[in-house]
Amino acid sequence: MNDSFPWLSIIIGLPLIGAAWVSRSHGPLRARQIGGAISGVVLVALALALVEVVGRGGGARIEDPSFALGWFGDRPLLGLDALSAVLAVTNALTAFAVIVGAPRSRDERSRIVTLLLTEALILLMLASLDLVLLAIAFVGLMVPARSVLPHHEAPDTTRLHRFVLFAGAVPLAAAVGLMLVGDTQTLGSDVLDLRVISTVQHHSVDAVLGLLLVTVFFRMALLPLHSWLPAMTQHGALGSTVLLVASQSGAYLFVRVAFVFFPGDAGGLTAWLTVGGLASAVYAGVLGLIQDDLRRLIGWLSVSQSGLMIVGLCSLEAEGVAGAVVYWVCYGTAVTGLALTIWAVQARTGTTKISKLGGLVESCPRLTVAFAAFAVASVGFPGSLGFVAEDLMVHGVLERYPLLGISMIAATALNGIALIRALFRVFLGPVVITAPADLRARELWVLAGLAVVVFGLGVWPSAAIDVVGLARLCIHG
Amino acid sequence: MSGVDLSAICMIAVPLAPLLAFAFVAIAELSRTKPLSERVVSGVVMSASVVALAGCVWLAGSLWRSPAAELVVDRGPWFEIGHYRFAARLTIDSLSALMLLLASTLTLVGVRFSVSYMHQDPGFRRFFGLLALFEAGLLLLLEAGTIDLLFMGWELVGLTSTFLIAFFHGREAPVAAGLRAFVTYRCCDVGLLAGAVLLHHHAHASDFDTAFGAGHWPVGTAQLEPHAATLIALLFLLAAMGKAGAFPVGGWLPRAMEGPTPSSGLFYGGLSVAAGAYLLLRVAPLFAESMLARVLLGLVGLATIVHATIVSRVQTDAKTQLTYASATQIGIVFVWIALDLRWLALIHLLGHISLRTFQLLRAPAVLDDRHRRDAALGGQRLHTGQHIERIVPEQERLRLYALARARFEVDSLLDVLVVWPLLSLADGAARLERGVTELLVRPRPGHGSLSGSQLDDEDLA
Repeated sequence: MNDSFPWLSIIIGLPLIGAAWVSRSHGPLRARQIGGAISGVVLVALALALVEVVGRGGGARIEDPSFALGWFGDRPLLGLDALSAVLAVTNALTAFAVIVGAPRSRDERSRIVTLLLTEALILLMLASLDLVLLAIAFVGLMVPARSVLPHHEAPDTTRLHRFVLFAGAVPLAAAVGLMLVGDTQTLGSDVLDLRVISTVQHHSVDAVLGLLLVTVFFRMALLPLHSWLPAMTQHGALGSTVLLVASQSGAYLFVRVAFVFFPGDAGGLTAWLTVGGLASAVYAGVLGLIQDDLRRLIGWLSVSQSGLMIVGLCSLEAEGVAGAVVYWVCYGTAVTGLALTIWAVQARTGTTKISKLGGLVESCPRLTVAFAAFAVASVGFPGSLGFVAEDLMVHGVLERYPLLGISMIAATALNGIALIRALFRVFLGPVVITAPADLRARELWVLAGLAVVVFGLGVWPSAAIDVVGLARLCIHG
Repeated sequence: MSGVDLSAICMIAVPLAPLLAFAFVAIAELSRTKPLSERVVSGVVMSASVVALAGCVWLAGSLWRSPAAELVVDRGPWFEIGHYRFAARLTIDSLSALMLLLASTLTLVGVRFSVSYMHQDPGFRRFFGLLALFEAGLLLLLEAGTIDLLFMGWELVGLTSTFLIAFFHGREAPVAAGLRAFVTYRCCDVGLLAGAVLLHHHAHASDFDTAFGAGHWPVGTAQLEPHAATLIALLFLLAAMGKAGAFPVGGWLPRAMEGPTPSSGLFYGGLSVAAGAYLLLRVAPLFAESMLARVLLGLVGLATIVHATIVSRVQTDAKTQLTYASATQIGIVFVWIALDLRWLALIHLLGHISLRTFQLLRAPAVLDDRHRRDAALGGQRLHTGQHIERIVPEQERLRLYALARARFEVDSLLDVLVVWPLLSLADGAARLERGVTELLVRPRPGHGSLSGSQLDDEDLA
């Protein structure tokens, strides 16, 4: 890719154009076609960008042309290094899968518009080289989901969305504000440039780190700021919530801002995050055992997986950090597959209550296999990419904290039990409810594609590990 | 092609052939509107089993002819990062060669038996697919030259076992039994994964040759600090207890008989439960380094023997009785390993697997066998002699009988001590979480309580 052409701006702009196009389209089928085509093009473009970044070697970055920002200098606002390129491709894949593979809903147009807007904001966050731009995209991620027109019988989630939006935005805005006020005098125009800001000394470090810690805890749904995520997956719009979960925006803020900005001071932050992550992983694993709602179960699983991932990142060992990045990619993909199968169950039976379901394998054998495949992939079964990720993470964590490593294994065991219990209760046993149809071809192909990614990279992980090795250097050189 | 190359190909082909058979059956089942015929499915799986058996025979012959104590295939790491490498190393030594021969032979017998037994069963294709996956996992487990690869095979065996126990999924009991087995496996497998990682941490390698470097099986010795050897050995013991159905976590074993008879015969009578003993034999050098671990292993073995022997005597169906007989023998094998009698343990294990698999495969015809035997004896019944229970005072005998019928309430005790406290904690936390959710999400007027249920598919509504 030529750095003199604003490729990244165009790629990020494509979902925005797509959203405008979809909002003017006629009929749900047309909306889905446009959404699918746009998200597919974005996926291919980002895959090419990843190839380009990897081809340039470790630490390289593709950037858009510089932009005149007045006092803030003349610099590019968007760029992708190995880490952000890997995550961008993962998120583009999940967005494509959710747009194309979800059941057709009554509010198809607004749903696809929301998904495209969310995708654009995620990509903006990942590609941003400017602190304020990153913060705006980070906070803005919660806005499109709010705009989905709720089903007339659905519960009112206004308060939930408002809470999540403000609780994520306020501490981050305060942290950025403190940095601007404290550092502008000494850093001049570099104060917002993410490329160079790690090399300079900051003021108000403790306060900024504290505020960032709260933001990361909240957005990653780590104990005790976790309760919004199960509520959101159960009652919110499933598509945009899945994109939000897969993006792991809290973890990205951690590695891009806290970790890189304050390398000398991040030690305290990592200790708190390790404790919070492990507590979340075990607590959510235990709660997952007794859930009676598949969508809420996904929420608890996500809380647990976020906790495991942050423990891996905070290990500061090569294996732990690389394992966490692989986990990021794998979980994003696997949870999307899992969410799509649960969505398909809801579309066919009108419920996601485990106690109201049973014996679905009789009417939906393919759906059963899909759920089983993504369930075992989500909990790191051998042959899936999750196994590679967990193996690396546990080795990395054990190097530093042996007891924590064993607790991580226990948490993954709990997650596995929760998902297999759900599989057995919902799909096996005497027939409680009959679905009118199994997976349709469109849904089947999307789920098969996700499965190929999760299990293909699980069987041949070396290529993925090589790329992740480069991404790891962007976090912990 | 040299003999070494051919051995390497055989080592890879042995687990790969059944894995490909599984992939073929699974893809065909999911993608075709018209299902494959029974003849094609069983033919593919049986061919894979024949390939695996032929490979095992070749490998055993190669090992016999080779001056080396083991055959090794190490084609570089599966993946690596930093100083960590996941070695894709397969090893055949005297322990794995004997187990491979037996496992591949019995699996082939089981597959052939199933062709007739499962004929016209609606789950015929699913059964054969799972059987092939099980064989792939078991053979990988036996060929693994590293503890990481062994774990992969171990997990495959566990998951396929779970699905085979729940095979007749139209009824509640098999599904509950499958779930029980999975929960036990998963909890105990924490020990295997943690032990594997700790072994890597302390021995700086995950392959058995380096970790137990001083000599090959059965004479290897672990080069670890005593406390590390004890901890790792105990973690492996936990894993082995789960898989072998040893006391006190063997409650899943009699429930596993809900599955089809061929899988019961192959797995829970012999091969699957033997995987636990195989793990202990494989890591026996660790136990040799730790008296504490050996004592605990011996106690677990003894407890399993006593419990399973008494309980098996009051069972009223042949399969469950045989299951407990199997557990008894596994308990004895545990004791041999605790006494560091590795060859004796292996020979006992091989004999036990062969006999028990045969008995379980014959179990559906046990009444017919009995009638034929009685008829051959001219209508006279065999007398089995004195029962050992008669040494117990008569008034205690009834109590012992009641306890044995209740399997000594071991499962209930585990539920009371472990499961219920955990679930009641979870229940309390869940109530708290629901309260928080109700603060953030409110039902719409006139639509009752919160629910995540909305039929939102236009095509299906």
